[in-house]
This record gives sequence, structure tokens and C-alpha cells, in this order.
Amino acid sequence: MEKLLDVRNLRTSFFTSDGEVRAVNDVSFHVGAGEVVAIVGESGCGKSVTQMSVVQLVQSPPGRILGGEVIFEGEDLLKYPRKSRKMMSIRGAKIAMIFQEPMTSLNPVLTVGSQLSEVIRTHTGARRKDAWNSGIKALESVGIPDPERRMKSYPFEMSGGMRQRVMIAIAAACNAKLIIADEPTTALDVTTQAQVMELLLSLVKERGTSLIIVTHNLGLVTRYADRIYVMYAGKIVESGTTRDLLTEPKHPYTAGLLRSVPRLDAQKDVDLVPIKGSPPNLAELDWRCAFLPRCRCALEGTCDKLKQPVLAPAGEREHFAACHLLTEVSEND
Amino acid sequence: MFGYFLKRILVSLLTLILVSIFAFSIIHLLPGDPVKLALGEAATEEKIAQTKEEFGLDKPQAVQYINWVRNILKGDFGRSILTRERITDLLKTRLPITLSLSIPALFIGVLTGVFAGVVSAVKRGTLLDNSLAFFANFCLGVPQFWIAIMGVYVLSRELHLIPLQGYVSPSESFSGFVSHAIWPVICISLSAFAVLARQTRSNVLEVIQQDYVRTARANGIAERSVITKHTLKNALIPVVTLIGMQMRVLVGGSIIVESVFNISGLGNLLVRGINSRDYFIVEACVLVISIVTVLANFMVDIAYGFLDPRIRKSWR
Amino acid sequence: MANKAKRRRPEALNVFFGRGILVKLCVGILAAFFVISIFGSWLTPYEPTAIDTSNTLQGPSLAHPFGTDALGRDVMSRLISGAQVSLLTSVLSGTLAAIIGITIGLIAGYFGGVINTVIMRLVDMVLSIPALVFAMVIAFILGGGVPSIVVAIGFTLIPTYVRMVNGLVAGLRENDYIVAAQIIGQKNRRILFKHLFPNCFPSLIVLYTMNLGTAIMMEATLSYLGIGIKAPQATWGNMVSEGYDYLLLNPWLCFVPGVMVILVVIAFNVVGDGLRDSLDPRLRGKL
Repeated sequence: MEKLLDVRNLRTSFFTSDGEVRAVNDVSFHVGAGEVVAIVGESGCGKSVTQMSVVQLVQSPPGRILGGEVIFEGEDLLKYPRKSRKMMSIRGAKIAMIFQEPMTSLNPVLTVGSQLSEVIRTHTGARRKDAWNSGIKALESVGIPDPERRMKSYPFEMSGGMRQRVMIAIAAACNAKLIIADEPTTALDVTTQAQVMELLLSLVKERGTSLIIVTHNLGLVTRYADRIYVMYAGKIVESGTTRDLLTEPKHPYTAGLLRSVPRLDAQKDVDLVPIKGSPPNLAELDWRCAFLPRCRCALEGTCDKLKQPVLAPAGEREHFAACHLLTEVSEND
Repeated sequence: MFGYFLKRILVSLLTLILVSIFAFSIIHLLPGDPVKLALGEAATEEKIAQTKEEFGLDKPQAVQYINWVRNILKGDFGRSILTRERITDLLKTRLPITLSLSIPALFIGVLTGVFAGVVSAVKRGTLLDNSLAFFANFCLGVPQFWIAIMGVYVLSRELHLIPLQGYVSPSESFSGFVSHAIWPVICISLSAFAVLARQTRSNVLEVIQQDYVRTARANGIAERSVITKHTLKNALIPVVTLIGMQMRVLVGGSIIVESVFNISGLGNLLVRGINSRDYFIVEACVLVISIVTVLANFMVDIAYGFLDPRIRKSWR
Repeated sequence: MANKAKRRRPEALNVFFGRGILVKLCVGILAAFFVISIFGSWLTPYEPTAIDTSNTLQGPSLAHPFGTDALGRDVMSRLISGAQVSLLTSVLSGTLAAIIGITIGLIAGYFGGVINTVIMRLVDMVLSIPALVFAMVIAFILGGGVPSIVVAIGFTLIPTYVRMVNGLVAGLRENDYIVAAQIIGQKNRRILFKHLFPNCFPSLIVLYTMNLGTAIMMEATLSYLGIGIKAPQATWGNMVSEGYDYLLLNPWLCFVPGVMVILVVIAFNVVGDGLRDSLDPRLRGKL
């Protein structure tokens, strides 16, 4: 599959009074055209910052993209300054983003129509009236009833699900090639969650849009994603097709995540096992494996003596994992 | 909107009633016999009783209050206990003078303050931002009477730019008004400038962090529109409420400046009333000053209701 | 979830004293102000009210570092005497306002309903009268002098405490631990002072600091207008007022006391800002 987005060795840090926080530490991933990719991890593992780095919207200061490449449609976006014309024409037009909080992601004092049509005008150069009409069509296409009236509504007059649809309408209005959805359903109730996801998937199917879902919700991912990247402490620790990852997780963290989620397809007497401890402070990482303090499988004398593990092939179909148990141990055997 | 409107009217009316009770109570809160104090030790019992009768001070307090309010509603604030001048006439000549200083000061303070606040926020962390913050701090810490006097020394004595003292009404000579009033107006506006600059800066910085500004950026909206359309509107709506509060500060500043420049405005009248124990003048001044600030607050609240769609579109 | 700076919360006071040179300078100014005011009686080289008609309106000299005024009184001694008045009135009025305002605010916020409405309407009433006018009127009613100025300034500051505490408590009241305390039958007074008051403490320290600056400014202004503390007692305000008559002969007399007010008031504001940023960052932009 042709790679629409290819991120290589991306590094983003925040420089705070506590020192350098390595939120994104040498992360590589790619998304093919029409592909649905999920980035999974606990809160604070750097998954959102990774996505914000792709469009260079990391708050700066204190954040700074230190290195790497973000190749989108064959061009390295990091070569362009964050406020350059090129980046402006990418954001919203080619790469659209949908955020977690539909309550706060839309401007409370502007009408839905003015926010939607402004984006259309910015990227297509359409006239005010035409942009407004395209806006109505966009709202219609995401299943908002009575779109003419809704264009004149303010966000506070809409429900959370409806607002998230507006966000999707904004993303769809300019025919974005890639939609990055950052926890798109977390703030919604369960029935609305499914509707919003179906809507996103229909964009993928009908228009061949690529989709990145950033989430901590494994259930969501298993149903919708083609491939999964698991992130931990600013690094990708395992990646592969959804099927491989779910059936044969190679990294103890992935395995732990799976064990901590209730599954309908599980055998009856499998208990839920939470991962002990909490994610590490990214400002205080040492040279060893970041997951070591929480790892159930860590080998004494191996894992605590070695440097951070790197991604290594862990199976067929592009399955990779970064774990000493996979590399060191198997070599010694 | 209608409900909001009604509520603001009721709150303002209630505040006015409370203020009028407070103003009315001044004479009755004084320890000792106020009339005796005002007329001096030499006054005879007869004279005191006569004066009390003349001003209705022999009646029960509730009756006095109702009469007072009724007369004020008719436009009669009574007479000075010392000079028998009609207070209404005094107010008529002096209120416009005070307003001619404080209203321009309000506009200057608000406009420059908001502008400085926005510039500070956009250029945050730069030398310009730091200098503006320092200047705002200075404006809040400098006594208005002192800066007014220092201005007189530098601007009139050394540079001969403005007249030393006094006031010329704009209807008499506009250029005379400007040259006399410019420095007093600037002095009055300093605190409003500082408050608005600081508040605007912090509001803008807060709004810039909001998710919806991130959304606008993520949608490729041009930076100019991100600031003017998506940030400022949100940041400035709360600033509007502060403008009402500023009127109160500005009138206070006007009292100080009137005293420095010997301008016979309302504040000067109040100071005179206090120093000569002319109670009815004090009461009238307190009431009128409060009416001005309540009205200013009311107008600002209404403007706020129109500006904020959350209020405009609700019926609560 | 975005995971920007995952910061540990450092010691608030460390942050405060680790701040810029400006805050340190202002802490120094305040320290000097307190020391000079408290030990001022031993520092004044002359009686602040001693008249010396042979040495009037002199410029700075070794004998009189800040010169003398129109009656030949030593300006430095009068400045120190004025500092004492400023410190005394500001601390007393600030404390008076804090005690009354916090109590009223706690009651209004905790009980809510009618009590809250009545109190807040009264606060609105006071706030619709310019602070200066309100203080002038109270001072007028009470008849001048230090105690009446303390009460006058204190009364104008009360609404600031009431508003802040009321707002904080109204927010805290809904918290589960307050509800829990009510359910297990704790007395209202205990809940108010044991649970709610400590939560307001950081914000109150900030407000108190800033109000000290406001009080000093107010005292200087009242004294300038001749409504506050009367001559011959020296205050920074009435020194400017007396000096104004001799502005063209000796501007120094007006200049110096004003600079004292500026230094102290700005120092209180800057220290207040610093405390706010380190104790209670949520308050930024609200105070």
C-alpha cells in the first residue's frame, strides 16, 4: 500500500522547569491511503503530542520538535516552518483533526456556520455565499437534520454528538486526505460513540480518506482499525495488524492492556488483570526499559541490565515489538 | 435575553434603593447633634430648633427619607444647610464638569488598555510585553494626586505645555477645554488603563490556550483571523463587564484630580461638603455619584447581554 | 490525552523565592518598610513635628538628607513618621476587613439562599459607591484620626473578601467531602472553619497582601484630600498636599513622599502577584 503519511524518528520535547520532557522519543509510523490506523496508549504516553507534531501544532514554548521527518504525500512537512503558507494549506485541507472535547473544540461565540464556512473559504477561496452553501451540504453529509437552521446555531445550542458531527463536517468539507481523530468519542455516551465512529468510517470507505484514531480505548480500536501502534512513555513499543496484535501480543505492555479490558470473545473464566503502577514521569526516564518497573515478565539480570530495547521484527505482516524478551532472550536460547 | 434584561433592571433598582438609604443615613449616623455641629457652638437652641424644622429634621426618619426621595424624584435635592443654596443647581453645574473629565478618561483608559493588553499577549515575553507590564504596575502603584502634581510641575512649569490649573468648559472654548483637561483626563484614566491592560492580556492568553483556538489553527485558519476572530471576541466579552466597574474607579480619580487642579466638579463639591459639614450636599453627592456608576454598570450589563450569544439567545 | 508537561508540583514557596529579581527587590523594599516603620522612633534624627523657622524649605544636605519643609521640619523624620502611619493603618484596616469580610463571605457562601442574596446585594450596594467616596463618608461620620481611617478603609475592603470567599465556598460546598461532613452530622461552624476556611487560605493571603497596598494608597489619598489623618501628624499624603503649596519653590517636598507611596504600593502588588502565581495560579487574571 502506498504510504500517505510516513513519520520517521520523530522527536518532540517540552522544556519545563523540571527539565526536558521527552513526550515523543524517536517515533516512526506510517499510514496508507484509505487505511485506518490506531495509536493506543495510556494518558500521558505522548500519543496526542505525536499527532500535534505531525501538523506542527505543539504549543511552543515549551514544546519543540527536535528532529525526524514527517513525509506527507512525498514531502517532508518538517522542512516548512510552522506558520508557513504550506503548513496553513495542509492543516484543515489535507490533514484534518478532530479533538476529544466537542464541548470546547468549537468556538462558543461564533455560529457553526461561520466556523465551518471560514474553513471552506480559507482552503477553496470560495465566495462567502458559496462557502455557506457548501457548509450546508457538509452538515447534511454528516447527518445533521435541518442543516440550514443549524448553520446559524451556536455550539452551546447543540448536543455533544451533534458538535462532534460538526467537527467531522469541517474535516469532510475540504476533502481532507487524512483525518486525525484524537479520542474522538471519549467524551460521548456509548450510543453516540458508535454513530460518530460509523460516520468516520463511512468517510474512509466513500472517499478513500485515511484515518488515525488516537485513543486509550482498545475496544474501539479492535472494531475499526486496520493496524495498531502501541505507545508507551514516548515510544512505540509494538506495532502490527489489529489481528496479530490482539491474538499474539509480543510486548508485555500490549498483553497487559489486553488483559485489563473485558472482551466478549474471551473464555469464561479469564480474569481481568490490571497493569500495576502508573505511567512513568517522562522527565525522569532512565536508560533502561521504561516499562521495567511495571513489567510482569521482566527477567532479572537481563531487563534491568540492558539499555532501552528497540523495535524488532516479532512476526509476519510487519509485526514489531520493542522488548528484550523478544531479542536478547531468544538469541541466548 | 428578556429575563436577563429584567433581572438587570431589578438588580440596578434595588442597588439604587440601598444606596439611597445609605446616603440618607449619613446625617443620622453621625454622633452628636448634626445641626449643632454644623452651625457651630455659638448657635442658640432656638436657632437649632428652627433649622431642624426648616429641613424637616424634626420628623420621624422614615418620613424624612420618603420626603427626601420624593423631592429628588421631582428634581429637588434640597438646600445647603449652611448657605441655603439649591443643591440641584450646584449639581447641575458640577456634574457635567465631572462627567466631561471621567467619560473621556473612560474611553481613553479602555481603548489604550485593551490595545496594550492585546499587544502584550500577542508579543508575550518580549521587551514590549515586559515594559507594558511594568508601566501598568506603575499606573496601579502611583498615587493619582502625586502624578497629577508632578505633571503640573513638568508640563506647565518646565515645558509650558498646559495651563497650571483650572477648567474651561467645552461649550465655551473647545481648545481651551482640551488644553486644560488633557492632563487631568490622562491622570484619571491611568488606573483604568492598567486594570484593562492586565485583564485583557491574561484573558487573551487564557483564550489562546483554549481547545477551539487549537481547532481553528488545526483547520489552517490564518493567524490574523485566529487572533482577531477566534480569540479576541472571546477574550474581550468578559472585559466588557470590567468597564462598568471602572466607572466607579474613574469617578474616584476625578475627585482627586479635581482637588489637585482646583476644578469645581462634583468631587470638589463633596470634599467641600465634608470639610464644612454640609450634610445634605454630602448626601446628594454620594447619591448622584452612585447613580452614575449604577447606570454605567447597567448599560455595560446590557451591552454584555447583546455581545454574548449564550445570553442573547436564551430567554432566562 | 495530551501529555504536555507532566510537572511535579514544586514547593510553592520555592517557586516564589526562586522568581525574578523584581520580586526579590520588592520583598526587600517591604522588609525595609516594615523595619523602618517599627523601629522608626529610634531612627528619626529630629522630632517629626519640631518646627525650625531658621531652616525652612532647604534642599538635601548632610544635616537634613531630604531637606526641610516650609516650617523647617526635617523631611526624613516626617517620612519615617509617615511610614509608621501607613503601616499601622494598612495592617489594621486590612486585618479588620479580613476578619469581617471572611466571616461574612463564609456565611454567605455556605448557607446560600436568602442569606447569600441579601449579603451579595449589600456588597453590590457598597461596590456601586466609589471606594474613595465610601471611605470619605465613613471617615466623615467617624470624625477623622487614625481609628476612623482604619475603619473607613477597612469597610471599603470588606467586599473584596466577601466576594472572594463567597465564590470559593459556593464552589467548594458541592464537593463530596463537605457533603460527607454534613451527612455524618458535623456542626456548621466546624465545617466552615475546619474544612472550608483552609481551602480559601492561599487565595486569601494573596488578597490580603494586595489589599495592604490598596489601603496605603487609600490612606495617602484621604490624607491628601485633608479627610484622613490631620496635621501636624505627618503622613505621606498630607506631606504631598503641604508640599504642593511650595511646588514651584521646592518640588522635592512633593516628590519624595509620593515616591515612598509608589515604592511600597508597587512592592505589595508585585509580591502579591508573585504569591498568587506560586500559591494559587488559578487566580491569575482574577485579582
